[in-house]
Amino acid sequence: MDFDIVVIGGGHAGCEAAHAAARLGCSTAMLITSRASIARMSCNPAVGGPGKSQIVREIDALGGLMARVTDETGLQYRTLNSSKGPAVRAYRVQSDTAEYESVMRGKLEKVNNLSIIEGSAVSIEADGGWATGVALEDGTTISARAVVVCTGTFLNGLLHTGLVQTPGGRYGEAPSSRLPESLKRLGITFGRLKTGTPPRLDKNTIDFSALERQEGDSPPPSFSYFGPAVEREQLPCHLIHTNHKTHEIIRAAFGRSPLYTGLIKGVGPRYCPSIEDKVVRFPKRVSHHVFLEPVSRISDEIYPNGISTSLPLDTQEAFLRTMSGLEEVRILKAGYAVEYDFAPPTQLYPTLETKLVAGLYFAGQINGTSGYEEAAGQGLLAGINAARKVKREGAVILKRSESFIGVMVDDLTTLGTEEPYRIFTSRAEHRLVLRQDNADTRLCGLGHSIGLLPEGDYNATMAKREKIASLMESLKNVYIGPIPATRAKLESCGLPVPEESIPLWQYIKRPDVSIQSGTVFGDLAAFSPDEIGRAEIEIKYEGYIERQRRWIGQLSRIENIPLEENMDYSDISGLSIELRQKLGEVRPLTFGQASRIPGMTPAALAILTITLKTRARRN
Amino acid sequence: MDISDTIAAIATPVGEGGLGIIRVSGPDARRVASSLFRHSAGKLDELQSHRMYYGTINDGQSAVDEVCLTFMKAPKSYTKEDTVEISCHGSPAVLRAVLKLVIGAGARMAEPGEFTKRSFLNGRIDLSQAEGVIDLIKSRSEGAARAAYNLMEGGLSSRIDAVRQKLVWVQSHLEASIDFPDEDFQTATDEELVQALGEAVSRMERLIKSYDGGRFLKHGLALAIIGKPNVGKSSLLNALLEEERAIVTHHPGTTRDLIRAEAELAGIRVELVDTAGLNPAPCEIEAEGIRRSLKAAETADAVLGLFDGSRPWEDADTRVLEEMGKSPFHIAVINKTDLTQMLEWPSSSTPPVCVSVKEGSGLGELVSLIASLSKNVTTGGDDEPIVTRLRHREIFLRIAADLKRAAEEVGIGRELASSAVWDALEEIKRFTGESYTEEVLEAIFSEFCVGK
Ligand SMILES: Cc1cc2nc3c(=O)[nH]c(=O)nc-3n(C[C@H](O)[C@H](O)[C@H](O)COP(=O)(O)OP(=O)(O)OC[C@H]3O[C@@H](n4cnc5c(N)ncnc54)[C@H](O)[C@@H]3O)c2cc1C
Ligand SMILES: Nc1nc2c(ncn2[C@@H]2O[C@H](COP(=O)(O)OP(=O)(O)OP(=O)(O)O)[C@@H](O)[C@H]2O)c(=O)[nH]1
Ligand SMILES: [Mg+2]
Repeated sequence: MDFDIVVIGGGHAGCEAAHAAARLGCSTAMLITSRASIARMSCNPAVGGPGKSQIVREIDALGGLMARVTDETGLQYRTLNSSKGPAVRAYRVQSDTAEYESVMRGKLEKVNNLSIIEGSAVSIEADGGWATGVALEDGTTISARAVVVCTGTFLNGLLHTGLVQTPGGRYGEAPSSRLPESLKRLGITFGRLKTGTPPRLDKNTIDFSALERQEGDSPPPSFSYFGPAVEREQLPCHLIHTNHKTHEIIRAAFGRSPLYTGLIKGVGPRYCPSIEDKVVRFPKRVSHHVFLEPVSRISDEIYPNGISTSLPLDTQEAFLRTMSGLEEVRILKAGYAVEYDFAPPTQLYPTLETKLVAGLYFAGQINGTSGYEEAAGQGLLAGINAARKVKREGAVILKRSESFIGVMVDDLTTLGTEEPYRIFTSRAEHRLVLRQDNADTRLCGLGHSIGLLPEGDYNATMAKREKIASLMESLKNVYIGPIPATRAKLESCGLPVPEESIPLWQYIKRPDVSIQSGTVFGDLAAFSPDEIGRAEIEIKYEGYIERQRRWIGQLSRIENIPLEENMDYSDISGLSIELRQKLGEVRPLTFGQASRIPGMTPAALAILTITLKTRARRN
Repeated sequence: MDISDTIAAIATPVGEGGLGIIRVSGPDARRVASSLFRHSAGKLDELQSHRMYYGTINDGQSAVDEVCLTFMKAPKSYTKEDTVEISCHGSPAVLRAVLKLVIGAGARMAEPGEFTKRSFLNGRIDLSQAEGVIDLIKSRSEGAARAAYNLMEGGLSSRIDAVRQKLVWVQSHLEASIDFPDEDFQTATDEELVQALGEAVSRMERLIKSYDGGRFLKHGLALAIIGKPNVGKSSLLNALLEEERAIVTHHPGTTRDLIRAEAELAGIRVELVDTAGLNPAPCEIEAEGIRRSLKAAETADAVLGLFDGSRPWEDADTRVLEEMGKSPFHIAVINKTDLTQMLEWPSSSTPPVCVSVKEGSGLGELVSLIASLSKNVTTGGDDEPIVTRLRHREIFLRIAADLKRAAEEVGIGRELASSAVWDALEEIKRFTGESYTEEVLEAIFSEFCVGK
């Protein structure tokens, strides 16, 4: 078999990578151990959240799939942080995981150039520093010009429930142990991480009658800029709480915890601790809350969010039953922790290509991240770059100042990670510019120019941008003042009356004013709520956005100075040996990236500048 | 500048101390030292890090001194480079002889402050501390040296670090409520956050205020002496300088032009300006002199008004009192207290200091008053660091503004407050030199001669 590109794995990274590569015109094979597990949600049945939501919309703006599939398969749709400013609002969708898998599979099956192949990869073939294909467990070989590895938690995966260990990539699936050996032979090094998941509960054994309900928003928000509005029946989630008794049972079982008996060596995520971790770290807390989330319309599984655990099964059942509503609960699948190999991502360029093997890309959890959205964002970028490499087009690198995906990839490839990496809005220094509302205007141009975002979607975005601009312009020229007619109008809408005549633009900046709430802003029928909302954000945040843009501008001179990929740092006098080594390892592509290498000082950067200048002069 | 070579210097104050240390730093330090050192226990393979060796330094023929020698392998040394410290007998002649041998063996004589410069360039101390070193080398008075020393030792850094920690706390609460909306933990209330921000603001404001005093310390306090003709201005100048700098005669109108002179008074550098007497009916030359006197009083940091105690109060004295009062920092002084006192001091105005320049009485009190003038401007106690650099003051002003903005915005939108706190934290990075802005790089290029 011969393809331009082979994508190993059909998780969230693999799906986006394969889709992008094929849509960019490369003959692509997506290799997956079982077709039925495409786009499986290994853990929580939800897409979105702060930071993650921005990534999902960036994927959409670039022409990826996650947003659309999420919109089509949700069980509940919510806007988070709605009480806070629009810059930090985020969507979260509870997904019907079964539907998510089948809709994603359906979309991939329809893509030209894309073949889905069942099989397990056991080695990466390479020749003279170039990836040339993939060998399968059944002995066949697929030759290729580029290979994208998206194997998630499967590399030497080991599942723990209590003191019982089972080799596995995730529940019910075998691990991949030969592939990491092959990668090691190519010089890739690995570390070990850990993550966990809660038990799945039988819906029919839970008494929901007395539980607090959490409903979705109406109307439901949609992730995708381009799909039809979401119109789906929504299901509620329920809120329950752990209590003193729960914690007591958990504590009593520490002797059989793989975490506390030292069985688990991998580092787990601090921000997503298991319930046993929470009990230890917050001994004073008498209660933690737990959301009961439906997993699918067609299954009885309930996902109890907040109590991921690797305690023994009998303990899991015992502590669950201390909570009101769960007195009689039955466990369908035990909670477990998974330890797995990851490849420290400083071994990658910001294109996600490995430095050691040209044409070999890594994306998703193999890079030490956790989360579907993080995986999907990387998958998309790796897929795009693999295709462009094959087609001999320039690499695409996303900047920190233009996208959350760029922030994530820069963090990973420059700093590496010591624990499962999750995106947060606070990781982005330009958060007020990188909002989830404006991902389309930030990235559609790129998505379109590389040929991934369809023409129609691009044109729609441009038209929308025009409309928002014209709305904003019109608000600059209309004045509002304390004249009687206006006063009456404002008071009837519950809006404050300005003390003197000011442009509407100015008026909207007030925290207690919203465009939507008043007819004084003229006839807005021509504009969609989204367009109005975005004009409002741009106006309200104008000062802040300006400040961040200025900051970006100040930095960009230094940020964008290119550095030679294979520059020799070993003999730069004046740099510490340690820094020379680090620079040689990370091999930054720009000054900006170099400046973020841990241990780098401005003084060292100054020395680097001088060295570059003298070297340039010499040549 | 090249920081890849090996430098050496006498690292202890010059004098007849019991011991003196010669420090050698750079890639060649170990080789240089080994080539001169003869171990008491015989042949030595290689110096081990962080061990002390006893032996002699030899000039090829005989021992120059008995020494203790310590080798510190990079990065565990002050400069983060390979470093050797040779502890000799303290006589200046011996130290110089050993240093000469060290230079002869391949090290280069260090420039003043170069060890510290390396320490900064290698990331051990921050930019503000390094600036302290530069100031210390350049300092021209005891007070300035003390402020520079404090800066170098991280006095200011540690205050700023405390502010940074407070801001990190604020930021973590702002961020937690944004990034974890569905978690059931409580973040700090708006009031608590506003209070923390307020504390940080007042800390910054105290530092900003100290700059006026800090500036005096560094550049000297400019003090103009004004008064009627013949009250003894020039005599006072000479007395403070302990040198006959200005012409003194019994003729009114002796001084026609400004006379500037530097003095160190009680550890404070002061630039004294003697002026022409404010004659109510001046001739043409005098008139120009008076114009200059008034200008000098206006631009000085502080003004000393001098009055003749042996003569009755006149309108011209009232004028002097007025001109002096225009400066927020001023001292009134009555001279010639050795003569019969005729002057009736207008009771409503500032109480004067009484001196007799002729007999030298009251001058000590006057000197300490001048010294405390500059401290007056610095509000804090003695252990408060003083800001002496304009760069620092500007950064602190921006931080204070950012934090005030943050405090206002906590209630409006935590993401806005967070953005302002972020700005402040970035400013702190400029202060410590962790930032990569042109400004910081520029400071490094210009002050540390990197790349020259
Ligand atoms: C137990 C558990 C708990 C988790 N908890 C959290 C959490 O709390 N929070 C969070 O954000 N995320 C969590 N996750 C992570 C989240 O599920 C992943 O980050 C995300 O799914 C990673 O996507 P991926 O595409 O990188 O890999 P995956 O979704 O894991 O997909 C890997 C794919 O590779 C295929 N594959 C593997 N090896 C081979 C091979 N040799 N040949 C062919 N195909 C292969 C597999 O079949 C699969 O399709 C958890 C995951 C697990 C397993
Ligand atoms: N008795 C007495 N005479 C003094 C004292 N101080 C200064 N004189 C005398 O006063 C006269 C004037 O002194 P100057 O110092 O020249 O006075 P000035 O204020 O500089 O005068 P102009 O330059 O002319 O404005 C000289 O004869 C001094 O000797 C003092 O404390 N006691
Ligand atoms: Mg005089």
